[in-house]
Parts: sequence; structure tokens; C-alpha cells
Amino acid sequence: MHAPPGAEALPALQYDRELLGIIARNMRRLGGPHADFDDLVQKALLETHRSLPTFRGECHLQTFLYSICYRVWIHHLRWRSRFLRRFVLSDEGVLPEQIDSRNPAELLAYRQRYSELYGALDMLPAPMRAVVVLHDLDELELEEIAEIVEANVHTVRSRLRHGRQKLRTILEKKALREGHK
Amino acid sequence: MTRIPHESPELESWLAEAKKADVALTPGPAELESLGVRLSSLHTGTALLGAPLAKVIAGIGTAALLGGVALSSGLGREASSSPSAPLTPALAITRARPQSTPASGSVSLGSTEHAVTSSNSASSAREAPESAQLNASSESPVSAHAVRSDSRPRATWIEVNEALSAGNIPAALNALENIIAHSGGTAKERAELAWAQLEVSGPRAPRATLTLQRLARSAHEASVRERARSVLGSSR
Repeated sequence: MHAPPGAEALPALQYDRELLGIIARNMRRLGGPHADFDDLVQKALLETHRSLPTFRGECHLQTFLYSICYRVWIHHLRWRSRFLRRFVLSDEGVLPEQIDSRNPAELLAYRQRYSELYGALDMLPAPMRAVVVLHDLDELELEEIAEIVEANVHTVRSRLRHGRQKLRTILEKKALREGHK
Repeated sequence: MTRIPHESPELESWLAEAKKADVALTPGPAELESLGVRLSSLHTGTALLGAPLAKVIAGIGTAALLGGVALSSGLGREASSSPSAPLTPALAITRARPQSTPASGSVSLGSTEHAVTSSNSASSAREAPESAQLNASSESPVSAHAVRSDSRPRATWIEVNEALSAGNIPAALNALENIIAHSGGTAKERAELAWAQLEVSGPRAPRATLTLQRLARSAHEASVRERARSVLGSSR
């Protein structure tokens, strides 16, 4: 059995492992640390596997993979909100922390900053959050983002502007609260 | 190509710092190994994966598409499948399970015996022997899992929830099987039930419990709808 046609567009990509790495990274950016992270990665991998034969190379592979991750993530959020209307999760939480051999002080600072980042992003609506993440963290162009989130460039621009404003307000409020303590 | 510059330098520098932290904490290959995600061979069209609920469902969808998908637990074990393994029409859901459960053959819970058969495919025959396999034949590509009809009175989803909250998993499973037996149950529900049965005593127990709760509720609702239909039908 041969690799799917999309795989031929990626001679440099060691197909499965690297694909897993890219998708895990994309999904982590979009969704942050989350108990369902492995499920989301798994689902996105399956979707990728299914969709790669249709990849015609008209956009970057990264854009293509991001669009799959975005669809899986948004779909999961919708499912989750319906699910939470009826059930209480007993295993709600973030991923368990990995053991890391790096400098503990540096690591602590990173973790703090990281949890601040995703804490603030969690307060943005999903489409807005995705645009901010893709533009400001992943440094993608507006046109690529528009393709990923299936919206036009003007909508993306507007989501980015509002997302940044909201993020700034959240950070200002947080700084104010910490100043009062 | 367009990028929008930041209006606020504070936000820009905060995001730059946050990005550094994000990059530093991005999972490396070792962390990815511990994810419970395994795609051992995309090249063959054989996706091997750890299978919480969403994965089972996604896998079943893909199975229909590909003609054959082996789903396998990634919990500490690499599933074996070589790129040269032939595609088979079988769907095999393979999970690591505790030592106390039987290694092969049928899984019997309550009054219901489930069709858990040995694999008929070359690739899944290479799976670890201690794993349980839910295997569907080519005639039935989605699931061979069968819930036997149940003559006991119909249980309710509240019973399942109560049993679960009391930690009485066998009672919960029993009640749930009863509900599904009464409501007929869809192939998806039966597959979910099979997955939950394999998982309730494993590391995915919390999710399996949630699946059981959800299944109980949906199966109960289906049976209520069915009863309502029959009542409405008979009154006409």
C-alpha cells in the first residue's frame, strides 16, 4: 500500500512522527493545555489522514493542517458545550505536568507566563482566540488565517482587532487586581 | 500577504514573552510519546490509536471509509503493524487492560454476553496477547458487538447514575445493558458500551464513567420516545 497522494507533497516530512508533532503543536496552540488534548490530537490526525489525499498543494501544508485542527477544535468545543449542559465532568482539568530537567526557576517563570497566556486566551470567544493565536503567536498572514478559519480577510482583521482589545482589557484588569492585593 | 502591527506595545511585548514560554513548553517527542496517541502506520491506511470515546467514533467513521482500521491503545505500548501489513476489512479495537481481566475470549458482564472475538486479520493478529479485542467481521464493518435481549424489567438512567456515584460499576453496567437491550441500541451505542466496559477498570475510568452516564441517558430517552410512539400509535 502506498502513501496517500498528499504525502508526496512532503518529501522532507517523515510522515507519521512529524505529522503527529505538527498537529500536537497546532492543537496545543489553539486549545491550550486541556484534558481532552490527546483526544483532539487523535481526531485531527485521523482527519488529516482522511483529508491528505484531497490536498492539492494550493496552500501551504501548514495552513492545510491548521485548518483541520481548527475544524476539529471548534467541533469539539460545540460538542463540549452541549455535553456540559447535561453532565458534570469528573476529570476536568489540564494535562499532567511533565518532568523537566531544565532550570527550575526558569521553568517556573515559563509556566507562570504560559498559564497566564492560556488563562487570558480562554476568556476570548473561540473564533477570536484562534485568530489572535494564529496571527500573534504563530505569525501567520491574514490570508492564511482566513483560509484556516474559513472566513474572509476583513472578518479576520476585525476578529484580530477585537481579540487584541479584549486581551488587553483582560490583562489590565488582572494587573489592577494584582495591584490591589 | 498582510500582517497587522500591534497598536499596544505593552500587549506586543507581553505576547512576545508569552510566546517564548509557549515555545519552551511545547511538548517534545518524549511528551508526545506519553500522549496516548499512536499512529503507527499512516502509510498503510491502518491507523492505530488510543481510543477514548471520540476516537472510537472517529475510528469507526474512518473504518467505513478505508475499509479497515485497527484502533489500539497507546498506553505505554507501541502497537505493532508493519507498513507492509495488508489492509483487512476488519475493525479491531484493542485496549491495554488490567491483569485481572481475562486475556482473550468473551467478556461477560451481568446477564449479557458480548461478542468479543479473536481477530481475523493478519495485522491485528500481531497485537499484544494481553489485549482485549473487539473485532468486527467483513460482513459487519462497524461492530459485531451484540447486546442480548433482556427479560428483566427496564432499568432507568438514574439507576445507572446512582450505581456509578456509589462506585458500583458492575451494577451500573448491568443497568445500562438492560436499558440498551430494551431500547434496541444503535451500533454506535453498542460500540461505546463495549469501549466503556473495557475502560472502566483502566486508566481511562473517569471518561468511561461519563460515557456510561451519557449512554444511559440517551438509551433511556430513546426507549421513552419508543414507548411514547407506541402509546400514540395505539391510541390512534
